[in-house]
Amino acid sequence: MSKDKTNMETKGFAIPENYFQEFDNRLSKRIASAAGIPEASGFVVPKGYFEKVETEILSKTLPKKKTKVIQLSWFYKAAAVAAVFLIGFFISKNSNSTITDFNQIAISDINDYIENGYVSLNAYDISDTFNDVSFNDIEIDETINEDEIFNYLEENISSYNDLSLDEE
Amino acid sequence: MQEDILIKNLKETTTQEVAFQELVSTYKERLYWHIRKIVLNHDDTDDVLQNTFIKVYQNIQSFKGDSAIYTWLYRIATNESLSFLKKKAKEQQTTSEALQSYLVENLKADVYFDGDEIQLKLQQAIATLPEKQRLVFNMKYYEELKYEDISAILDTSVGGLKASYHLAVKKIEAFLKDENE
Repeated sequence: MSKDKTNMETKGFAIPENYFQEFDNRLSKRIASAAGIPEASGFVVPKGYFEKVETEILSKTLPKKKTKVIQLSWFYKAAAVAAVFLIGFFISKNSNSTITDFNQIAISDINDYIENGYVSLNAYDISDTFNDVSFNDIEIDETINEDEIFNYLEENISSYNDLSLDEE
Repeated sequence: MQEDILIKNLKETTTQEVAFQELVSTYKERLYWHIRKIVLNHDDTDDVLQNTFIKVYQNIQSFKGDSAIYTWLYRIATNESLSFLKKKAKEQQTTSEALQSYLVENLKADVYFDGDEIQLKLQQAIATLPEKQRLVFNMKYYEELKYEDISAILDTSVGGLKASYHLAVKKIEAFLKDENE
């Protein structure tokens, strides 16, 4: 078989590429056509169907895009939570009134809210936020007694390691 | 994109999305027409086509690559189409043969079939064929697939497929002649 093929090729005859691979297809088609079978099927699709179906398939299979989560510093977290709380508080307290001034909120309400643990602050968040702020830059309206500071630290700080202070 | 790269990309999480989009874009039309010739109705074809790609997506990790991805897709589409017809026959409490006649009869009022009388008669003739002959005739005559590919899709020998095709043509020819007389 292979010898015959070699002889044919050397005699200068050539055939189109893939001729024998496609011969079966063409023969089958000819046989059917000779039998009076029409070439077109008559089936049609709605206009724009293939673009639409591709979108539908991809929406049913591929994972949905995740919403990007933005990390907020503790200050913004606290402000956001406090704002939601206060708006809710006002709406439930006095549904007929509208919020006109932030100053109407009692400072004690905000303090209670933070002290009751609704805003979690840790040493890392505090030191990270105020890393570039010098103590001298912090303005405190009320004077705080040194004894009060000492008592507070003794009651609330279990280890000095919790404070991250740069040595000068 | 080369097939081996496409398969590799389909299996990797980071490249899967783009690769799957390419797969759908490349094969949606071919698979649609393959399914349509089996289930005949456009809306049913739409359902089966979507189910086919969902199955492909869910099972892409189990594709071993021992056959061309194209024949694997056709195999899933064929199985989905045949399962759909079996389910439909069961729901309508009828036989597969009776369902085929019913589906062809519905083509007369189908807005997505604009075939003439001879094309409708051809569908009636195809509906009388046994399942394997029906599949082989459509895949060979309309889709122009190679016998080697049909063999991989239907898991049948090339010799058996050729015999099925010629038998199908003879039966269709006889049906059309009878109708014209």
